[in-house]
Amino acid sequence: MRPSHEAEFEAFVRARRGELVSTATALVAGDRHLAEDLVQNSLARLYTAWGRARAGNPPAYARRILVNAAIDHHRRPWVRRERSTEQLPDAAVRVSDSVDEDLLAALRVLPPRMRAAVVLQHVEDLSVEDTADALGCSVGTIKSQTARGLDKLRHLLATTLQGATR
Amino acid sequence: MNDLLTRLSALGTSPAPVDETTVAADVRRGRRALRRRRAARIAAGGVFALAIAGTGTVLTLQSDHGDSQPAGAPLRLVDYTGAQPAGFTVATVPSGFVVQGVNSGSLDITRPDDTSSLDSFVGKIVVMLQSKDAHFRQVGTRVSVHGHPGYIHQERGGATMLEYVDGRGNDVVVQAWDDLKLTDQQLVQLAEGVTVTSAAQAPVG
Repeated sequence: MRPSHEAEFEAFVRARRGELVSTATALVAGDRHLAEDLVQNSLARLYTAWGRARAGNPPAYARRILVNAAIDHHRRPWVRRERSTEQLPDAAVRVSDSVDEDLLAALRVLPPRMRAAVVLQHVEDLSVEDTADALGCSVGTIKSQTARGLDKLRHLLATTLQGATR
Repeated sequence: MNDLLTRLSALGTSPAPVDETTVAADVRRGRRALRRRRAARIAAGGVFALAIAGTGTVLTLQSDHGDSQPAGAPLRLVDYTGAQPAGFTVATVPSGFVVQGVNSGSLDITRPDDTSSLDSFVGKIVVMLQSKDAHFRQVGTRVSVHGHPGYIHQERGGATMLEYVDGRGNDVVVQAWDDLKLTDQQLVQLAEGVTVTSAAQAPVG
């Protein structure tokens, strides 16, 4: 890579890495260690494709790589699931100071692409068009995935609430 | 509905500031990824050219780590001489590979520059005990590990898995990421060098 291109990449990492970690954390429903792994791997891939990325929209390019990495991760059953323990942890990994544990648990139930559609639009505040670009599908598909995802979350959260009040 | 959207919106976090050490580490990983990609392309092109020429010459390239293992070339198992962690011991590893770390349930073998979490098994060889919830799946190609029956099968998602019951009754799994191109014979050879100690615990789930 040319020094000038590498300097651009470094500037991109300084400016955008924090956002990517934040997005990744939401995409994997609160697992910060996994989110950091995904961001590291995505940035390494972005470096190898920086020539193409810089010619277009680098943040969107990086987001596409990251979303694909998050979805691919879920397609690999042995990537993480065997690192399990006898007991559930006392608390989930913290996403923010006031963690919405019920919502994170409900998000984990959604299929990865559906979860990504919901997260990109309603956590990351992306437009439907940008969400479609990140997931590589049509706007119509995003709308239906998001609507179904929100319905499912509502149902899951209502069930949790009923269970808690019994 | 609005309550749900408000709760989703509140999940977003303020991006943390990025320090220069992290930036430098990302650049290093990027450079390594680029070198690996280029080396793999050269190796693929070289193998193709040699096949055309009909020679039996072995193409060798210097790897990223200065060892003699060409990137993208078949791995070669060598004696492992490093520290043996608690839980599992290994006698052989691929040339240039190291034991990245171990927890009570598994041991990760990978390249020295792999900075991924121990929980990520991508690009690694992992030795572990089968989950307590699972049973010995006798599927795939039957092999023999120290005289005990084992089975090798392809795991959906890009990994090859050897499962066998060792002489002490431990249900052991050795998984190799397919990118490593470890042969079934090498998987068995590596497994035959594995010893499970009393510190190892089978995971759940």
